[in-house]
Amino acid sequence: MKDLQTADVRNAETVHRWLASRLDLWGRKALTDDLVETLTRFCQRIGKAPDEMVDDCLRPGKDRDVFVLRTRARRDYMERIEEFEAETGSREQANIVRSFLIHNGVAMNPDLLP
Amino acid sequence: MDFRSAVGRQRTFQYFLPYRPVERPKVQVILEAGRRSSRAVNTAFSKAIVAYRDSLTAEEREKLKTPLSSVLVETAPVYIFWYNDMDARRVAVEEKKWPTVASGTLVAIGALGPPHGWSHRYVQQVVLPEVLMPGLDAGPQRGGNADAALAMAQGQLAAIDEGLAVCLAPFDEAGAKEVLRTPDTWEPVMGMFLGYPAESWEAGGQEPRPPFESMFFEQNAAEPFARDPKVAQTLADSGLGGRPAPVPWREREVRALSRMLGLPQE
Repeated sequence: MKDLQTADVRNAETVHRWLASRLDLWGRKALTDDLVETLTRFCQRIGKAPDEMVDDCLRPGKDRDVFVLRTRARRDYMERIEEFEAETGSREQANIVRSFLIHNGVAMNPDLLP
Repeated sequence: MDFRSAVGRQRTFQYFLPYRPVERPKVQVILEAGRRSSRAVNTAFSKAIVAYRDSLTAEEREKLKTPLSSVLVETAPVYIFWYNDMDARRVAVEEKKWPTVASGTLVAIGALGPPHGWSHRYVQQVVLPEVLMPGLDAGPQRGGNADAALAMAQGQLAAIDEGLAVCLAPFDEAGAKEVLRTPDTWEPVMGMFLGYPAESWEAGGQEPRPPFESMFFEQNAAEPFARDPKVAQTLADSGLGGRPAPVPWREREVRALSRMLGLPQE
């Protein structure tokens, strides 16, 4: 997965959903160039593709298109994003990854208190 | 009237001027205040029906009474019957008719958003099935609803602010169902009886309450929230408080009111 490229990430279904949802909520200004690049770096770091990340966090329910949050997986991803934030020294970049998960139905936020 | 005075003036008013009607715009103000109250997932659990004493027949009024509300029904010119719509959650989730969380509107208008982890997909494919839909199969469930009561409480303060006297009291559910033609899914919260006060605004004085520290706690339930008397005094000075009951003239006031209204004095 280390060789995952930006183009692969850009073509993922979950990335399409993420960008479409941002566009819908905030307009074109919410589609900045660094989004997919930052997500790609995170994917390379943890060795997971975008769709795989979302699948890890959402267990399909009984009905079609209905999901249950996997709380432990969500917590794991929150920790990995915190590590990414510490490594990059950038809350902004970490929030891009959080935004990707949020728009795919995985609610999360960074810790705000020290 | 400022907020503190409205809270401070609130009493369980028992005596209304039966001959003085309440202006319709004031009734609307009460409903408007209730409509703006806080509610989970923006769902309208609260429903209310306004009824006018003089527009009801004696038989209809009789059906609304309980032993606790009998005199109020006779003397208050306006009643507002507040209900909890036990079907509101199902309507919000299945019909998506109104701007609720379930309809996606709150995310669309930015009331809820990514900073708190909300997105359209989270609402539609996680929150709805995981949080809002479980239990709907069991049908409407009785047991009260905090949001329906909040709407009523906000309406009550608005009534005080409009210079009206208010009393909350239970009403006969079965009788009200006949008279008001309420759906089976509406559960009574309380009747709000409204009018201009026949008694003084003190209404006998501020009713005693249990000690502050026996009701409120800090950090955990074993630590009472220490009440600062200076804060309490500031509130009392600014209208939130009032003279404690009993006021010295209360007995004479009650006798006089009872004579005026034809109620038993002793």
